[in-house]
Amino acid sequence: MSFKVNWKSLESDSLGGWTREILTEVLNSGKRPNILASSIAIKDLNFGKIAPEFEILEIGELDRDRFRGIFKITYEGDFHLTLHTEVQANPLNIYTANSHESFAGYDESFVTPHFLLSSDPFAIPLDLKLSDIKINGIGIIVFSKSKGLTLVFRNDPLDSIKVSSTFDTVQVLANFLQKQIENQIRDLFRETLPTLIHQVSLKYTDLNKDTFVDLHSEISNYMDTPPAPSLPPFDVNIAYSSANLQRNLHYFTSRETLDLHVPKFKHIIQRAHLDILTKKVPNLLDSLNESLLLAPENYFPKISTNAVPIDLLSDSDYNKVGSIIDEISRIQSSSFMKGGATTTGGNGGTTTTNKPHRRVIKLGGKLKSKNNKVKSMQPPPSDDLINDGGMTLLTQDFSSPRPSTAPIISDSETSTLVDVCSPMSLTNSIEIKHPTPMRVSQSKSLQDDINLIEDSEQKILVSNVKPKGLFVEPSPCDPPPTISTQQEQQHSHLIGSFTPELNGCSTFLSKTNSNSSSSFLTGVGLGNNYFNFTQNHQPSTSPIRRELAQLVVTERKSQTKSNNYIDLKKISIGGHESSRLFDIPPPPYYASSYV
Amino acid sequence: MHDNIFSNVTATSRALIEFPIPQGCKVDVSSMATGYLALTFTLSNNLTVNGSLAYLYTSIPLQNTLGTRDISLQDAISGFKVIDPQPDKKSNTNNNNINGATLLYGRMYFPGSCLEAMMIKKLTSQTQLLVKCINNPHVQNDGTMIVYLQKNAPRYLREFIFSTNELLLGFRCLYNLNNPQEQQQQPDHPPQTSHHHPQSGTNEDIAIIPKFDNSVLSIGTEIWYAARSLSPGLSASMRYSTRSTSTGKPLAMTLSVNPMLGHISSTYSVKTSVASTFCSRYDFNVYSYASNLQVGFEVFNYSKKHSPNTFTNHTVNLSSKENKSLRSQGQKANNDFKAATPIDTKGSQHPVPSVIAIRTPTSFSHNHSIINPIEKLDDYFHISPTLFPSQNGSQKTLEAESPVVNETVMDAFQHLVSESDFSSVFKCSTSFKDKQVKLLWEGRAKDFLVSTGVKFRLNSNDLNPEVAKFGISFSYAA
Repeated sequence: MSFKVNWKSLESDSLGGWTREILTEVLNSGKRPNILASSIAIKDLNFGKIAPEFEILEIGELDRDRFRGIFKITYEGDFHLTLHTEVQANPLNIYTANSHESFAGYDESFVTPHFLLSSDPFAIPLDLKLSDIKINGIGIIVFSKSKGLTLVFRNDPLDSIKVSSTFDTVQVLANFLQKQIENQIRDLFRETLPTLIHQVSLKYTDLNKDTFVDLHSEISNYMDTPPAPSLPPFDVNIAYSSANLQRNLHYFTSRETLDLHVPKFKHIIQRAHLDILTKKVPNLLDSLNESLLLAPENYFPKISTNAVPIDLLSDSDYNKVGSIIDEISRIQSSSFMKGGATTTGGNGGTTTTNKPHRRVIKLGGKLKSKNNKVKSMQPPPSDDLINDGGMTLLTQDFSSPRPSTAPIISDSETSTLVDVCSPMSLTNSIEIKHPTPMRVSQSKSLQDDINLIEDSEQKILVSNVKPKGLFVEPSPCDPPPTISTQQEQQHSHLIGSFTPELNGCSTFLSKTNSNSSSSFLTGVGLGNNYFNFTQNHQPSTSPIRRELAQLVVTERKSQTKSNNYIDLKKISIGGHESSRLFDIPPPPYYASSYV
Repeated sequence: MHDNIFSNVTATSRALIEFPIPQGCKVDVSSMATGYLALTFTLSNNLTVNGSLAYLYTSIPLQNTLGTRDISLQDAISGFKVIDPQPDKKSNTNNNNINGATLLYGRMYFPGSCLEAMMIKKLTSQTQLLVKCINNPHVQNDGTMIVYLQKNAPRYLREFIFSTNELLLGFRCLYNLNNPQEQQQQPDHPPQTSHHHPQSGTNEDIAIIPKFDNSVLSIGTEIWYAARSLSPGLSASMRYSTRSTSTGKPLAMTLSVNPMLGHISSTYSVKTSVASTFCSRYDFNVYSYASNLQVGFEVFNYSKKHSPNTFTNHTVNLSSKENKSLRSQGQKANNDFKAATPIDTKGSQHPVPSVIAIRTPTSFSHNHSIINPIEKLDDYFHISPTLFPSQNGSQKTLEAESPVVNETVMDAFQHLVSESDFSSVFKCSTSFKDKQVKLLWEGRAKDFLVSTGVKFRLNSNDLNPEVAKFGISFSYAA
């Protein structure tokens, strides 16, 4: 395996200058022999045009950081080197210098006779030219990244060298010089060159890493290529904080280890819960904003409940308060109206989603109901209870299932009020008695009162309508709200069972999941409830929505008027109406909304 | 003898230009236990704390040794090396006793295990053997030994050298070329002058006094060969040393050459006054055209105790009058003279000179007033030796001596130099090729001889001056 050596590259000025410096330093190092009257200077150095032939005969060891091989080098080129120095021509001067050296520190001239003029210095300049070097050598080269490069010659590589000097006329001297220089060059190849190369190579080994940079810059300078454009400095500290990265790492590993301790992230929302921000839940405030064309952010923070913005009423101009209240009532009544209408299934119950929750208060105890379909129910509580009970019932309606009177649904005269019935299970509805709001008796006055109350104290009603359970973030200890669908009921125990677990979890989970915990997976962030294997019911933070979701079915159910009421018509029909339960597809999984 | 050593041909320029700067802090203490034994201890912090301990033993007691308290600075510190053209007169006196004398010297350096030893044996009155060796494990063969065999005669010196370090063989010789002299001295009178005297003969010859009798021309050469490394070496040098007859100030010129390398070096040094010396040196290589100029000077400072010597009440002979008297009186005056003059100059047959009192300013600021330049009609100036007070400087002894003593200017100057009480000397030298400046101060401080110096060099790379060497050295001898 032979190499082609690019000898022309050695003609660069920097390499020539560097070689000259090194050679001058080496030649003048150490103590100058007395025969030289001055230092050695390089007069001319020319690498020549012909390159040496370098051939690897055998590779003994080849590794990432080691190399050993046998190589052969031959050179028959026109390299020449001229040195200039001065030679001491007076031998007695050398004699005195030698004897003075030996006796350094003492009386030097004790045994040296005092030469009058015989030992005066006389320096003759000498030019020495080495040329026609013929090298033919075989050697072993060993390279190790940690120890450097060593090369050893197996034979004497110097074949011949031509030495010419200013003393060529003196044959004796010329022969003497030739012999001396040949011996010196032989020693150079055998001993000096390997040590020199080894020392130079030590600079580029692992021991001295900072010179790697120098090597690169040297090479790049030598190749005359411009350096690559440097990238803008990337400051890691500014882009990421290590604490955040740590938390991310912990979070990620918790997915694998199912560690329930998940670090909290500020100002960060999961992708699964992204629709908190994106989903626009129609609530009173938003509708008010649109209708009144108010700048929403300026006036009040976003409230995802249907609370009446008190700030809006209190801060704004008094003249406008009336218009604001009119608008609020308009929105509420329209949504109430909308919610009452039924839609056919198949398209999705979007139009029926925003059914306002209206309680139905039946006043007056026994109902002289115009309603024929009054079921025998428990005697309604007293009036005073109604208000409170209704309310409390209402409040408790969604907090826990409790036995209560069967819903007495009046006609839709009081259309403003809608029965809010808890979903009834077809199977075991008897046992579970969901509290239903008491319908207010037909006393118009009372209804009017109620209406009045509603109108005037709409705010209070509305605000009080808000049961605890309707809140977005119920306390962790609250049991989940009542289930609307059949499947929900079946899974109610599961829900119940889930929550204690969830109670032990971080608040992140509880906040998001304690309502329904329909998707445990979603809660822990494993993903969306793709498979819906927990339950179909998507927890909805919006009380209206939740109720509507529940009421979708119960709406149908409420038409049966009571738990125990069996609508034969419906049954006979074949469950058309009952089948309506399933006409409406369950709300899509992504339609859940959290706050 | 010391003058005759070949390597001391350039001693003056070496002392003035290439003086060493101490390195670090060094202290050396010496003491002479007896006349035979001396001890030296040195301690220095050059590179590391190191020191040495040396013993010196002589078989003949050393006399006239002075401690650092008493020694004159001129003797202790190498300065201008005055070459005595007539060394015979002085060296003859003590030669007889030295045959067979030995001198042993040993030094131990610590830390480390380096020893050095020296032995000098006087074989005859004119030959001596000098052996030096060191023992140092850092040197190849653990040591080196060098042997000198020297034969010293007044007119020449020859030495053979052998060293075990690379088997170095060497031969050096130096010849003094001066006019042969007649030994007509009177043994009981130490010579006072150094000028030659013509053969006693006709009076007419008296007037013909060679002009260059007070100068010496020395020629020397050295040959070296290191056998082990086959390295040869050769150099030759010439020195002309003389004294000015008008002022008595000595001067020396040398010319050295190394024909193998084509190296030529010339120096010129002169003593400009009693207390100052100036020297310059120029090197040149004919092959490589490398050249270098080095300049150095030294200035002596008088001690506070003694005022500078002046000639306030001295008498100086006028040369013109003397010449007249010389010519006129002739031989008759000779005989009278011999009886009259108590202190006889060496074969001097001058008549009693007429003495003229000369008032000279007492200030010492002008060097030229020390010796009054008098119109010179002959080569001799006679200065009364009563010019110079003795070392304790009492005038009384001055007057006790003979009021008129003939003395040449040169001798007078020499006496001035040797007997002046200097307290310190300041030396400075520069080298233009090496771009360096050396400063050295040597003096006596409280019985110690202190020498401190600094060498500035201009850095070749960034052309900033930098201190190349700095040190201080204390030395005490008892």
